[in-house]
Amino acid sequence: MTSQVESLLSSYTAAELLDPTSEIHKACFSYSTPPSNPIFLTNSTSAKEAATTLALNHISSAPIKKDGKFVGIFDTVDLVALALQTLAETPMGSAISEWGIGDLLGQKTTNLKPLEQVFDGWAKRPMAVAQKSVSLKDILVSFVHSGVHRVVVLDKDEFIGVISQSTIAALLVGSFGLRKPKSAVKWSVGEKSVSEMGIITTNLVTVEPSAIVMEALFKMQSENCSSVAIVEGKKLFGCLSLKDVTLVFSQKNGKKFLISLLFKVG
Amino acid sequence: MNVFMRCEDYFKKLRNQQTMALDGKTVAPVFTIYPTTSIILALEKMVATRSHRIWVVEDENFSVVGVVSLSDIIKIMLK
Repeated sequence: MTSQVESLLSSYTAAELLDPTSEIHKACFSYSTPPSNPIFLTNSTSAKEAATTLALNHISSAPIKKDGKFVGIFDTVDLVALALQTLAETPMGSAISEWGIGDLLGQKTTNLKPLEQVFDGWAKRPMAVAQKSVSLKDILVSFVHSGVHRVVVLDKDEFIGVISQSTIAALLVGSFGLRKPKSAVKWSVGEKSVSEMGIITTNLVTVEPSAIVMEALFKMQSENCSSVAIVEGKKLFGCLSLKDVTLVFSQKNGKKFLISLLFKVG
Repeated sequence: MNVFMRCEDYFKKLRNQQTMALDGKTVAPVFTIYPTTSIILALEKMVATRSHRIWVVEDENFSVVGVVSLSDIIKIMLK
């Protein structure tokens, strides 16, 4: 028996989801701002440029193109790995807390070399590429069976965008969530509890509220996870993810950024 | 903000900054669910807060018992 999700996703292609004029695109991105232009890197992009591109564009990943083919994905895990490597080799000083990601990575000359010469983390990560005509159901199957978190979509050889797990999640929320159309069918599995479906992970990576953010970063790297819970005893105080921490790398002097927002005109 | 701040202080400042970043529109940084929360509601909260996971607490004291990730939900979407 076909699931409600399978029926929904079989009805649309990757091209339709990425087309800003399509109804499915509008339903999906009603929850978030879609990327304006697809961003990708090349094998000759320097490590510093790659990290800066992610941070300044507030994106979590960008595919890497080499010799006309997409060969890997550079993401926040890689950005943080480069940042931690550089920090470990940089003398501590008062200016370090004022650096944006470009300043930080610029401290190490190897980060100015092409990405493929200094870092191969992205090459070891599985990636998926699909043509724009594939169905969203096939995209979901890639997520489930290949373990990838995003699929690079091409129109023959032209890069037209990336569909991530988050994109599919937003589509499902638009179709089955609180704001779904009144005539919409229910997603029967979606109505079940997280406990009933057995999808709660209980082995948590945590830090105490008094730990510094650097500790949290090192813990995420050593435990190979992208988020930590800030816990006092058993009480959840908050959480930090790699994305939260790379936010600070996109800003030089965070205080100025906050003040500029408070006094923004128009 | 910098990576040498306490996690507690960084988290508070981050959430405040994220709220202001949306031109003053309020973003409820809701990041918890209960074990009895439905999968679609858990997914809705993840999408609303633009996060890839949501923490599971067992009571109003925020006693944390686990986490549900987007990948975990993706795996059951075809069921």
